Amino acid sequence: MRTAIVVFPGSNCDRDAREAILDMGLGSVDMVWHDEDVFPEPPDLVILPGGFSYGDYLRSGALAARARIMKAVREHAMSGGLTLGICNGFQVLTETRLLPGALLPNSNLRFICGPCYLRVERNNTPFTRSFPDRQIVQFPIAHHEGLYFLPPDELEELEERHQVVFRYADPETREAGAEYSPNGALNGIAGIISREGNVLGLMPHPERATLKNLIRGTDGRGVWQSLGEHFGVFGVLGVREAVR
Amino acid sequence: MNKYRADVTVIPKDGVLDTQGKAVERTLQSHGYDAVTGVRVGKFIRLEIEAQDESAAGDIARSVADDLLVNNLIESYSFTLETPR
Repeated sequence: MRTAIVVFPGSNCDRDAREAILDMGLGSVDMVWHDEDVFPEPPDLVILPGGFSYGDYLRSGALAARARIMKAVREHAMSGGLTLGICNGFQVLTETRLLPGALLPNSNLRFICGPCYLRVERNNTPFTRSFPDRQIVQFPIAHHEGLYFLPPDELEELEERHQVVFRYADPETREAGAEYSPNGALNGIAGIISREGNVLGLMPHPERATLKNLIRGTDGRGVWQSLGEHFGVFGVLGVREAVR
Repeated sequence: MNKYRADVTVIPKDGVLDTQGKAVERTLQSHGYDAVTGVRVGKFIRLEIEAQDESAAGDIARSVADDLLVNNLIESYSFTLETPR
């Protein structure tokens, strides 16, 4: 399995993502500078990492979405390649329109940083297949623009098509929804997947909940475990499963 | 070619939560400005455009706004062009 992590000026979770992937034994990682035209090798997975690309100028993710490498990212995603946008990477994916919606400033107008609880709404995606159904997980969040917004009609369609993969939740009652959004996200939406099921964006950080004995929790390992299973890295499938 | 100045105003669309606008409105009302409502906080962007005439400058301004300056899912915009003296 080969992963390409795009590095924008201002990315700051690119190396966290690399360490997570290497720790999980998911194969090789290429760090790809935003100004490149192509990936050094065709990737199985492209990650748009967290951070503050271009200082979040104009709108979070807006300038990164127009970076040179994004043509290659778009081609990868449009041809069915797995693409994962975390935090700022999710904002970039909405700005490129590879995912619907927009991330607005948090409803309390503050930068929010801390652990948060999510319910896995779908475990039939390449990113979540190792999680038990409706599992509650803890991934940290760290963002100022995390309020997921979509106009009402489109939001309804998104829900009907089951594109919500992660929803903010109460770990005690296991209920999930808008009332548990730390940032005001509509319907408690923390992460969504494309209609085709190959592009995932989420605000919380699974890569920061991966290394053991680092910070609280390792629930993020489930995301990498899922990807490893999808690509047959762990021998679960016996043979490497082709995605393209 | 002439030089034009485009002043672009970007504003959150109706129905899009504008937390900054709400916060400003609350503060104004707590200062006794009961007459003030509907506060929306947006952006102001100034561009200089070289173009043959005002119509061509307007086309460029619209194109720039649609391509980058504005996310039309959440924002709307207007602009004015100042003609050269």
